[in-house]
Amino acid sequence: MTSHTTDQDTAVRSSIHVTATPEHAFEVFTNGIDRWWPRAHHVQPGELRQVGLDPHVGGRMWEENDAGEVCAWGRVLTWEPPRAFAFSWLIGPDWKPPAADAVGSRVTVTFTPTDTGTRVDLVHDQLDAHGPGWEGVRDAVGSDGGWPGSLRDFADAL
Amino acid sequence: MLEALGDPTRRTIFELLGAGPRSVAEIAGDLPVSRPAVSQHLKVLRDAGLVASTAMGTRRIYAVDPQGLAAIRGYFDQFWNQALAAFAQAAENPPEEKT
Repeated sequence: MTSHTTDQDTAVRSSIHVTATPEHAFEVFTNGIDRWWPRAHHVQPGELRQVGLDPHVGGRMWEENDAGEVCAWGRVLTWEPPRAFAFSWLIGPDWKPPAADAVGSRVTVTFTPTDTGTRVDLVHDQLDAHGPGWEGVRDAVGSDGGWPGSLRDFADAL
Repeated sequence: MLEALGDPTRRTIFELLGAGPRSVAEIAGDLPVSRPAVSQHLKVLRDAGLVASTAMGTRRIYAVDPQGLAAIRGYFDQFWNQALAAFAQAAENPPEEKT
């Protein structure tokens, strides 16, 4: 079950409840990220082999493709197991490898114990960092077919 | 506003437009959805500020609203909705055996 609020123009919020301890939820969200990351979403050509992160502040958020190429697409900003985890998000909505000087948005995830498990609250804010809009994205993506192989998978999964 | 993306077909149309502007006919050609149904979905997306349209000759071309922070928010809202559902499954189930 997820819920959303839309009161902030530059943020997206999503929450979910899991029947697991905060320790376990934190572990799966971070070191277990490869188990749940949507496979169609990656920035490099080819197939996604693995998504991972370096578990400390300043560590990389990274992906590896089937050619063994690794691309860092964010940095760990907060590492406070089992309560809080935050990282920068340097990927535009075009899903291209971020430029070295890319400005990012921020994803903050908090884990709160409940009677029956853990409430996970995710805030993806500073979305205005991704530019004035989609014009640049559209131009960049329009030429070579857009998201790498993802649309068909996405449609199939619905 | 983001309720417009609650419908799976509209989400797919929105993602399709994220890859580039398209006409109703082109969208209908890519999806198992009739043109009138595509038009109806586009109206909802446009009313929500997610999609904009421009006339090109006799055709009307639809695109993700270039002015719209709403569009970026809509995109990420959809992404995290999907990702958190998958996360919950992973957190509540043991890892799959690697084969």
